[in-house]
Amino acid sequence: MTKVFSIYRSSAGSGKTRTLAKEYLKLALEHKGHYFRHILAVTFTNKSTQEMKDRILAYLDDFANGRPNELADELKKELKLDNNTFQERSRDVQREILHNYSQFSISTIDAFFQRVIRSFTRESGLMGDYKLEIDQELVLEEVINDLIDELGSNKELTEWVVEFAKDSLENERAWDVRASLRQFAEQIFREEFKVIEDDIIKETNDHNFFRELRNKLGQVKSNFLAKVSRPAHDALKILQDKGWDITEISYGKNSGVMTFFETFAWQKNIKDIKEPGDRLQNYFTKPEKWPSKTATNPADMVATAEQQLIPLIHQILDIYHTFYKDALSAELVLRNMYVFGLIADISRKLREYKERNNTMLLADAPKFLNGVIADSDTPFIYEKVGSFYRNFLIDEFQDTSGYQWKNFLPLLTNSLDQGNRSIVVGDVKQAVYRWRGGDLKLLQEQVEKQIGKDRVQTLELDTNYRSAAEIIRFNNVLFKNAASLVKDITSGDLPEASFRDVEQKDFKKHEGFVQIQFLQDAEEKSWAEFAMENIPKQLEQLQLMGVKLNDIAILVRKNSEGQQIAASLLQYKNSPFANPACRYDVISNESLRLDGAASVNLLLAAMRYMQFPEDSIARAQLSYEYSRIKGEHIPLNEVFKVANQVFFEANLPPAFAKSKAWLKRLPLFELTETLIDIFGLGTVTGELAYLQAFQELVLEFYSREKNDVGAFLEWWEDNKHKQSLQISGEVDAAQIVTIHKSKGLQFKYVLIPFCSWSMDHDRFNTPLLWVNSTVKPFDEAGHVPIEYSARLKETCFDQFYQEECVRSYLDNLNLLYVGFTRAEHALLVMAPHPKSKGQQGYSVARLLMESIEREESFRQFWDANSLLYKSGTLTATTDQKKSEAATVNLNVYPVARWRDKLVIKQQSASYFDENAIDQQERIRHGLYMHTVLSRIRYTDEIPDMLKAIVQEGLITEDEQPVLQEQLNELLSQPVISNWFSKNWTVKTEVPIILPGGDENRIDRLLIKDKKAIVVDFKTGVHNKSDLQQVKAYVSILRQMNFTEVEGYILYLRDREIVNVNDLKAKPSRKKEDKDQLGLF
Amino acid sequence: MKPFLYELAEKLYREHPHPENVTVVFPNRRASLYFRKYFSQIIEKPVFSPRLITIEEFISAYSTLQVPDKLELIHRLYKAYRTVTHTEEQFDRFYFWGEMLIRDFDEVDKYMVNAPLLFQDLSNQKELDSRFDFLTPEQLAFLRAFWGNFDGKDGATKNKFLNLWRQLPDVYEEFKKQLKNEGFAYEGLIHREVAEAFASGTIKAESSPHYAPETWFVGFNALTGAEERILTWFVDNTQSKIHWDLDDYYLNNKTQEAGEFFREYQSHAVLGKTFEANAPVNFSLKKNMRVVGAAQPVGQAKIMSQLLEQELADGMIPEETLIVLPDEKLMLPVLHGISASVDKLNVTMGYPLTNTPMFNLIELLIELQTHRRGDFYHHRQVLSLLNHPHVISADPASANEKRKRIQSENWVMVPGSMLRTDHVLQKLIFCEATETSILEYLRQVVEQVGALAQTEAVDKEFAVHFLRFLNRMEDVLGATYSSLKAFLQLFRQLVKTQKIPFTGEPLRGLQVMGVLETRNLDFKNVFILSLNEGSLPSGSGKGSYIPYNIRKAYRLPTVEHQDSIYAYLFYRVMQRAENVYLFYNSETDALGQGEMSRYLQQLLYESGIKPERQVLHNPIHPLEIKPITIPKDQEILEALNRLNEGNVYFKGISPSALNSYLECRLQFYFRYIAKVREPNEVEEDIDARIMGTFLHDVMELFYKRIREKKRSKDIIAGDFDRMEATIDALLDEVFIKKYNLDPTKKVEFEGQRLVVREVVKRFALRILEMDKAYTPFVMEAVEQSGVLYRIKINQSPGYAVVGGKIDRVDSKDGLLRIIDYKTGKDKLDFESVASLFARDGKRNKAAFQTLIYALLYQTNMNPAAINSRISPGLINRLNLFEEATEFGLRLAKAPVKDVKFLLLEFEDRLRKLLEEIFNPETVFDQTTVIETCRICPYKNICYR
Ligand code: SF4
Repeated sequence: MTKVFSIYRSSAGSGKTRTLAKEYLKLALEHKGHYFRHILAVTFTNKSTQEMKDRILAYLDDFANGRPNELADELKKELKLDNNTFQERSRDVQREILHNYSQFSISTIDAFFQRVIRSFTRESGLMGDYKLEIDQELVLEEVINDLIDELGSNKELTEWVVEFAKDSLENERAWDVRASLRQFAEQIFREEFKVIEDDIIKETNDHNFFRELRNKLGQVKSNFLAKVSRPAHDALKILQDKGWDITEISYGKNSGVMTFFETFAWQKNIKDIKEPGDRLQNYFTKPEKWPSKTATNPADMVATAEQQLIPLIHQILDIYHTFYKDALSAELVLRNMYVFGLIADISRKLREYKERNNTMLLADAPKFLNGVIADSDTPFIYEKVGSFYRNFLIDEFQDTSGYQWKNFLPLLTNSLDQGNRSIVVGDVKQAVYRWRGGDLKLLQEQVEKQIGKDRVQTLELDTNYRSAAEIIRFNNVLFKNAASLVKDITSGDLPEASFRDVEQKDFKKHEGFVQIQFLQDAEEKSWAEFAMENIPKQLEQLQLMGVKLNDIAILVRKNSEGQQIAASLLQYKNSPFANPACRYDVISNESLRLDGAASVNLLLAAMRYMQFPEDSIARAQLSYEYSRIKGEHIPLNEVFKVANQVFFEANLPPAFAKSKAWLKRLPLFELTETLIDIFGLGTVTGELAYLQAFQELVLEFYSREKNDVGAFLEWWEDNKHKQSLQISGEVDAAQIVTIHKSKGLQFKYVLIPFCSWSMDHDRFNTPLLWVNSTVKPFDEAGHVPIEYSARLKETCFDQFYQEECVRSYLDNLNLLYVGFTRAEHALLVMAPHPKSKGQQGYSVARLLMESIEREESFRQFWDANSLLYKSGTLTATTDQKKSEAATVNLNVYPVARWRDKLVIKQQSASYFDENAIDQQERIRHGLYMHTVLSRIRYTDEIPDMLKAIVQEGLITEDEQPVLQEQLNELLSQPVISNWFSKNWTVKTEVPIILPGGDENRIDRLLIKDKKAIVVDFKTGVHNKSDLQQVKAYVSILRQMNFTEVEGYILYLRDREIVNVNDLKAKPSRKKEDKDQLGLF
Repeated sequence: MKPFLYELAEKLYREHPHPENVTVVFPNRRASLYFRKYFSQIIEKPVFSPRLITIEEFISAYSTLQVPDKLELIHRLYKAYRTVTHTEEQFDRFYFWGEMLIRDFDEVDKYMVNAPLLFQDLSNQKELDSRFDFLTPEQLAFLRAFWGNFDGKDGATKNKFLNLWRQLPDVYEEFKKQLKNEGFAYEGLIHREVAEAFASGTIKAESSPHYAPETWFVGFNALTGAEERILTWFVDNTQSKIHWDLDDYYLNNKTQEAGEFFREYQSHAVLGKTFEANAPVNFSLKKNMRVVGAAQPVGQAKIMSQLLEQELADGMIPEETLIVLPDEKLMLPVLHGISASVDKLNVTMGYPLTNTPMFNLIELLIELQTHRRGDFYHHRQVLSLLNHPHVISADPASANEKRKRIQSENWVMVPGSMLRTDHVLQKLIFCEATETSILEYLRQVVEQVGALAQTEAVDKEFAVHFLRFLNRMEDVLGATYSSLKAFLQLFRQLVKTQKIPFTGEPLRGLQVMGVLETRNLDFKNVFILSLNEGSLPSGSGKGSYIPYNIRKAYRLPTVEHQDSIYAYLFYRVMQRAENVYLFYNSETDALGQGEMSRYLQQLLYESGIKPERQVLHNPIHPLEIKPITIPKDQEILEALNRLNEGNVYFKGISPSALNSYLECRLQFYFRYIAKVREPNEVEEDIDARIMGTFLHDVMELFYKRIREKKRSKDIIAGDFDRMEATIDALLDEVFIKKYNLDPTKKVEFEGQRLVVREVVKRFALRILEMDKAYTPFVMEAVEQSGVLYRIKINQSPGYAVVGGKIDRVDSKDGLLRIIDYKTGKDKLDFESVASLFARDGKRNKAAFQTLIYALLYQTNMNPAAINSRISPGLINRLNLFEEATEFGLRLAKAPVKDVKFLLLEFEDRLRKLLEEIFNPETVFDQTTVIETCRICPYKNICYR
């Protein structure tokens, strides 16, 4: 068989995106122009989707126009095409793509699955049009609210929640049930949980399930305690009776004998029972060892020990060894029973929510598809969308989840069976998204098995185009060692296997630089403080060499670290130590947060203040931010004098105090725009980006949720931590990036100042594992949640612990790899000496040190005294970044009140006429008569017209006869009925065009030969201008060669006719203006 | 540049000095306005205008049937549907798909499709598609579990569904019949009938009131089947002309979808003759073109405004300038942005009713009624309503009064009697409405808002629209609904698609339009925004029951059809322009949709035009965060002295104030000097702080009651009889007080409060249990306040007064215990007295506080107890549930048996602390311990 399926293992910097683009182009150019629609390329993020599309179009444009291009040469060779054909084909493909753009299928996996499901549900009429919800936190919020509402009426649930609340208290978690539940509930979106969700729902649907399980487990636990405490009590009794002083027993206080018996006699928490030490098991089981030198009656002691105590010890140990494991397992499961219950209830509520709202969560899609496919080889669900594709190109494969892969498999197999090529690209070593469901084992081993070895070829992209030689060399050796160390520690094979392809060839010929520095605690300072102090120094060193600040990145493990670094650099910058020749500006995730901008906070404070004028914190914030933005020097003591209204307002723009009442009436978006205007925020150029992003949120909020300031403020409080700017284009500062976020990026100089994270899970943030066991009675429980801890080694869930432990080590090793491979020119790392404070457990620092120490070839670069590794030379780079598209800036943020400018047609003035605020009156005043009369030509059209205005909602059906009656009455006047007779040619609302852009519209014009009658209907009271207007009409008609012209006004309220024929005419204003309304 | 319509006006006047003898038919009304404007520029004296009408008016004039509004149509369809299928589906559930079905019917007729045949095919295909025979039982079970209302086999859903398809022809016929009986029709029905009538010769061209001897059809592009036939008939049988608005660029290039329809009509036997020999060449004339990418709507709007402003300053004329908004979301940002630089602007777009404050008001009203319990209203909606623009503008003072009162009295449910006062609007709003009176209720409120003099004109406009809308609802659907929730849902659904047309003075000022409105209009300067997939072309459309393949087979419009129309609109609006600015959103959405429009890509790659390209990028330099320090000036020193007074108002410096000072001096300043306090909010959710108060209150009441009853401080085991019942009652009492509940009614605990009650109860019971075991003892003091302690300091004013409230003091066997209840995570241990004063973020605040109490108590205690040992301690959540409860403080791991030995040192350090506080030289500055800031209410000010 031919190798139709290729797996590209692409280590860091090996040109993965190019590989993918090339494969795409190759497939597209191999065939006729429209073939491209059979290729599906799947990328990991939207950003990379966009990049890939742009890249392919740009390549095609180069090819089509015959511009010299390296890739073109490769493709021509591989496709065996001559220049002309190649160019022709390219043009063809380009045109096809541009004009059939929706079939240009490069998308994220989520987007693709959505398309499939959407078409399935639509075509089969299953769900009508379900709504896709992307923000699962929003949903969760509602679900938790539902849940809380159910408390009280649902006893069991109440119990879970109370227990949860108590547990939160005891574990020092924050005390906000709603918030902690929300956080807790997030795990139900994880794939690990989704895999077993259905089983759990099934189990927990049985009402007795919990009670029975709890009883059973309780029995296991109490059995053990009962069994073991009896001999322990006996022993204690004997010891008490004997009345020996503790010093008479060997080792005295440290013997452990008392503790041993006491523990087993009294301890109710099984987890607090430690395995009896060696001394007890092997020393005190020998009678002669019991007495110490000071024993008063050694013989008696030996005898007592031999006859009574040692058998009791044996008895206890026996029970311990036989039952402890189960008892501990039971206890740990019991501790998390409420989790179980809660999760089940939340999951149930979530289902209800989705059903009620006809919603699918984005995160549901893979599982949904999987369920529908149900291991079938030719799933019907792909009939409409998926089976159309012949080639699949999947990027970042190491982060693909089990469900995602299973969903793809049938499509893929199908196309492979027909001999079509497909590829996946990925790097196991860069798998750092396990918490999002990514399963690196797929790439590592399973895919090859599932597709079939004979069809698969594995290719290694083994040249690193990114980093300098020294960095590559260092990483090659370092990670080989590290992986093997991790294997030894965890006794899992996966880490080493994952890193077997770590060795890379270099491409760039310059040398590069690596420095790893281990820091120790000193009396007055911790290692971390030293590291923090070093950061500005390193920035200085680099800058003084000529390195540009924005070529430097500081990689951190967590956002909070970044926050601290940013704060400390700011402090340093304002301190006397700062070097005037250097800069210390950084951009971090935190500094990109919208609530980090003064103007945004000012707006929020102003809104809050307007909602709750007594909120003095809002007042203080408003006053303070405004003083900052104004930049004038007002003493802060004055600024914060906000308790007093007069002082408070004196510090704000006068316009604000003046228009407060009016501002309160503005809808959300207009309010914020107006505030921007009043406070002059549009001129703070450095913050315009924030302002813009903030307004975006406001806009989004009111179109999605509500046009309500209060609701917005509430939403903001809950969501502000998620709102930050996207960096687009260049920033003139060093970047602080988390390692996770740095994946896929590269920087010339990389600092990793706190290389200290733990290889295992953080003690305070341990995950919940869903475990099961075949041991009785746990086998009945199905999947149970249990907290990850080393104690699990002693339970019947030990293999779950083992597995999780290996994974955790690998995750953290991968993070190290991702971090270390970002650098192009230099990598500067600081790590704690493994003996430093806070370095319990096995940390990445220790791994680093041990990997360096044990490597022969590193010896020459490693100074064990100063704990410093250094190789290569540190130089400044001179090469330029490619210039991006030209940029424009906003000079100011333009805002103005549009209502002043807009002219709209107004109907309400007459509707809400002060004299006629109810409908009866409006009818009496002839408002609708006007409408009818001005629209009809002859009397017989009245009934239809009445129907029409009912349709328009002007009057209700009940009011129709009333109006008819009025019209009848009016038309009984002979003059009027003549106007509506068929004697005349009638023009209604007839436009007469005047030269120069004006026009006149006459309500009613009656024509017979050269004779014309003008009739104008009026609803209000008599008005001089009415006369003038009609006179003007008459004069215009005269200009139009009518010899005999008459004009009338009909006042509908008073049913009065005015004849204007005798009066002299003057030119009038246009009639239309009366209908126009300038607002304000 | 001469606009297309100008050229035509010239032609018309040239050929027809009496233009009223010509009827000109346009695709939309807007074109006729411009046409008339150009016309008036050409003529020399007044003339009757030619008849300028839309194609819609043109066609419907040949029919006696009327088109009712959408609501009525759907409701009539609903009735027809029920007649045919005999189902009992609710209207609100039907609405969504009824809307879709009408759209389909409309298209079927407009495109003159053989309906029975199509429905047959459709039904066959649906039967295939929804026959889930090929599903395994597991798959079925899965689908059912995932979506409760899915049913694959024998269930009602599927059958109903299939039944519907089978009965579709009947529904279609019945619907038409019912409509026609009452003289109604939907557009498609009229179009088809008119087209057929012309073909069969049953009507004459002259029968229309719009008839004129000659007819011009102007600016059409994609004709429906009926239109195509009608136009053909007119060209064939009357004096009629067709004027196409097109350009050589896309007409004569087969790859350009924009010319698709023209090329088709060119080869049409009749229509083909109406094309001129040479198509105009305007598009490829030289233009200034710029393409700008910016993030999201606001970014585009703002950069567009800036560029426009520059252009206007350089002489661009607003009347010659057009702004095209394919995405209505941009309307507000654009309006705000451009208003600064023009005096007048004219918007031709629908403003969504849902974006109006009035909509928000109505939603709130319905929610208010949904959450109402009897005559009690939930504070959430009440507060929102009292803060609503319309309610505020009616009577700001009383709205504010009420809001304050609700907040300060912590009302969760607010009695109607309190709300129904003052302004008439408030009286209307806060009264009971039910599913039978909701419509009238809403109408009254809206009417009142509209009638208020304070209401701004544009809001009055909105009010009129809503009133009309409510009238229509009543006319069509009646006044009674199954429930308020159902009403809300229906209301939302109906309003969602409603737009208020902003149609103003068309000919003056800057023009802002949607894409469809631009047809046939030409401007010298054109700005187009949102050039993204999903906006231009717009997304996959509004949904249809007729799948792609059947559409294709029956020549109904498809996605490609749409794409061609949009392509035409895009190229056309630029073809005669001289200056073109194109904007696109440079950020895609969460699913990666909304990338740069294909048309823009085409333009960039194919047209040969090389526009200037830019990306909006703003520098990111947030204002620098500077440290906040506040020096002590005279005023501050005075404030400090007042704190020190120790009278009814100022109860001395409290331990919390001292704690605050030690934690962060600035925090102390904010809280105690500047008096920047947390706001009073109605709290439904309960945080740790409140839970602490509950526990205190319950414990206080418990012992006070015993003391009152027995008139003795001695506590014995018997006092704890019926302890649980007592606690329950006390909890009720405390909740009633806290939440201003009705004391005569039983307290109902729900939601979060239930949890809190349970937790507090457990705490209290546990404490009492321990107390019971400790009996007999003497309860010396419970929540004793006003205890003061004066200490000499080496600073002006020479002394400081410390005061506070002691939770509890009890004594037994010569041991005085001074106890603080804590619900927080406070610990018993502290390293040294010095550590209590260390500003390292690790100091034991609770121990500090308890030691101050000890000091206070010792100074003020009755002489009899002076010989007792004093042991300070905490009862907290950590030690409470341990097996062996300990609550005495521990100094360096050893229990503090008698505090007296510590107090000397403590007092000494306390003095130093107070001296620092009163020292005019020390400033109030920010803590360096970030941990402290995490729970500090001022962290937003400090950026911590
Ligand atoms: S946020 Fe921090 S620095 Fe600011 S007042 Fe509060 S504790 Fe002090």
